[in-house]
Amino acid sequence: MRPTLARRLLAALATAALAVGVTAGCGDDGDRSSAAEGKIINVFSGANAGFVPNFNPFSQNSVAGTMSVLYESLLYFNAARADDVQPQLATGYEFADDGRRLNLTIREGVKWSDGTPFSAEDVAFTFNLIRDNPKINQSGLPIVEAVATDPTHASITFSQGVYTQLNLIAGRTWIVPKHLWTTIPDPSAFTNEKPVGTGAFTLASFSQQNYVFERNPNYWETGKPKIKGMRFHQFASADSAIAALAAGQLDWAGSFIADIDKQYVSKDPEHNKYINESQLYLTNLIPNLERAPFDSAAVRKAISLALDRDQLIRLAFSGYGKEASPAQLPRPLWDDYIKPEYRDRKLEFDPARAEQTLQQDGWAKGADGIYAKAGRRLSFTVKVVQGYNDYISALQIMTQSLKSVGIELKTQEISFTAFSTDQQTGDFDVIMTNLYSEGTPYSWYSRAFSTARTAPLGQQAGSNYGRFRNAAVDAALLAMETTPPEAKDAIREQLFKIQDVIMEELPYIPIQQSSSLIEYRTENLGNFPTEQNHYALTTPYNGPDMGIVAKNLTPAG
Amino acid sequence: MATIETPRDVTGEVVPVVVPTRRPRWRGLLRSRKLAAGLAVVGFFAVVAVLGPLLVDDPNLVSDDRLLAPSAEHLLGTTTTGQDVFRQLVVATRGSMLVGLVVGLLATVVSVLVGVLGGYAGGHADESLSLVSNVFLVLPGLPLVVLITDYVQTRGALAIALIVSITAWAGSARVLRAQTLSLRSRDYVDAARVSGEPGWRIVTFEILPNLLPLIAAQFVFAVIGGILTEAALAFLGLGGAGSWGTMLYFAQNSQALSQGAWWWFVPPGLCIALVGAGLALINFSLDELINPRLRVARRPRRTGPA
Repeated sequence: MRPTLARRLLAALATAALAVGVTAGCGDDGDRSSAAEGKIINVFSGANAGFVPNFNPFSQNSVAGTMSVLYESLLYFNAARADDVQPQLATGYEFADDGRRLNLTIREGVKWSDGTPFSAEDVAFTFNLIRDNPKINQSGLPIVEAVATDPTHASITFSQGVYTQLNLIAGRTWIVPKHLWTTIPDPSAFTNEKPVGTGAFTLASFSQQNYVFERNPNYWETGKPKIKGMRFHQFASADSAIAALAAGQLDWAGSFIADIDKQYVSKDPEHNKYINESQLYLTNLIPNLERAPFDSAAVRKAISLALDRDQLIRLAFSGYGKEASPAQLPRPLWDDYIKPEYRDRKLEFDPARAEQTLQQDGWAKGADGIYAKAGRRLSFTVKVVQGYNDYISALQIMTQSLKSVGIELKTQEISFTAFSTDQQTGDFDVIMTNLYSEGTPYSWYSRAFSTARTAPLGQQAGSNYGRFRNAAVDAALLAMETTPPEAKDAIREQLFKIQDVIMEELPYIPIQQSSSLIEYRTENLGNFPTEQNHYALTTPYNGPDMGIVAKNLTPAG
Repeated sequence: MATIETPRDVTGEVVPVVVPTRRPRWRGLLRSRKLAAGLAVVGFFAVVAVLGPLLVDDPNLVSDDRLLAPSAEHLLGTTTTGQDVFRQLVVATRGSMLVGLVVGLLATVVSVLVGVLGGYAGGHADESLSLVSNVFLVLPGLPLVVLITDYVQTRGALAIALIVSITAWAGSARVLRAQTLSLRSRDYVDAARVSGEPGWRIVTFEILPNLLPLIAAQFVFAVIGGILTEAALAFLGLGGAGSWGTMLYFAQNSQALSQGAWWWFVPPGLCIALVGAGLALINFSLDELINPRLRVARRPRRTGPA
């Protein structure tokens, strides 16, 4: 994920301070436990300033590991493998009443880390807590009521069908203990400095410099976790984190490293491994479809034909990005949900055809070498968040590519705040940004292309900033909302209809499948997910994936 | 040079005051070696800023020559996107110098207006102007500028300069006000007032000329501040002027340091240091002019007429 402006600022300020020798050393001693038995592994999840204690899983500011390592969800939806749903606190689920009720079977024999038994009561309590506190209902779940029918069964009713939101309900809702949280007056502001969860690890120590999780001896999954614990570190700058990684002081990190083979792998080729998780975001040029000339598909296609994605990925995205599919779904993750004839379709680079496409659409090259039609030059401005250096580099490259086919691209760097406002209200020609999802192909398309998520120019659009509107797409999305998630073929049929439209219209211009580099060292730990055995997404960030990886790691040797 | 006299004023009291016997010694200034060095450095960068961008190719031109060390083909090597660092440096010189110049001018104009007018007018006008400058003086400069930059939509050297100027004038205004207060009560000003000169004439012809060295020093000071603040902003990713700070930002984000690409971040850093040093030298020599006590006694020449 791209860091927020605040984080970039902090990082830069911290680096600047470091450069003039104001701060006294960053990170930590990074000690490596040597005994084969009981390894505390060293983790870096991107923190670049002192840790502030917050273990509230409903808070956006909770420290890494709170979600999924300390607190658990009902199910784990593997973001690295399609249709891989792993039972966690729930062992089964079933929809009823056209998707307005979710019946859950809750795992037996689970204990909270303070020894109190866990039951369906806690699950019901958590969902009612979310309903009663809109501030912690970040996904806006339409919960009516949750009840525990017996200690191992809970049932949640919703005011509308939630077939497409199972991932949010069961995969990203962190179950908290009723016996401790009933007395919390405002669960959104609670910092929960003594966390009690069901997770595989518990908090052992906390300081501004680092914090340690240790194995939960009462964990419900027998034989797990195998490592003794995890220590979370912070580094004021990317450079110091890389130095620590290269020196073998970290076992698991999610750091961008330029030229990773030279800076990291070559320092210890036997142990220094990495994995490039590239299924999280799709970088796009999103044109404002309500503004000329982007209402013309020919113009969008000409722009796409003029862009050399290989060069963009090689130069601007450090060679880590992957080729994007014109079907706007990350590959190979969602290959099964892409219509077979589109699956291997590529975004072509053909400058000559770009010009032909424009000429057929009635554009003629002017004296300045730029195409024009009815007195309007084919010139547009791309808005981009200032300081997003990879995007800015990419736009510099695109400017040159487009100029050579007679299209003028101008870049305008604006602040994050201004960018957010402009993209929502539609005050742009083109924006460069990421498309992302809540974990399902439905959500990829509904966020980007649903009429329900857009708004007229000047009003705030939810997530469909390009103002794409298409009746066939809306109908297909609606059909999926009323289809149980198990009916894969019915869902596929609707997805294929949407893909027909996208392939024909090319509403947005995909640039790359973005990448997240995850480094891990096999000196101290084993059984890390690999491309072949991708049992969980490997990102060591606060979210549903870290806990799954952590409890499956083994001490090496 | 100023001399100390103890004249009697109209009431017959003896008042010790410092009165300039003649206009400041500009000629002495020209002999200062510090000034010559400072002017040479700043002049060089000014020429590069004006002419340089006309002489080099598009600095944004990418190529597959990624992260090459300096060579005959790429005088200062290339970036990770294969852009020529030398070209970038030349074009960035214009951005940085322009911001410095505009900040210097704006901050000086505002500080003269607020400081001199307030100091001369006195009373409520002075109180309120002085209050405003005191408030601006205690505002934490960089964080405020960071906040404003985040909300202002337009980018570019002028916009950045305008924002930086907001916090750059208050210190100078205070200095100028203090000096004006001292000047306005002097005899020659009183004399001018008694002889019926209008206020604007007294300010422009009696007070301002005596403030000139001070204003010049404050101007140079504001230029340094402008260049440094812009570099800081750009380094935080908030620039837009295409400046040395922007180059440093890109180098930092592409991990030039850990990749050992010194040719990417050393030149812009060095340029900032050099311009800063050049301007500081000019400022020192101006200081010496204003305050003779700072002047190092010139060693008597061993030969030649005194």
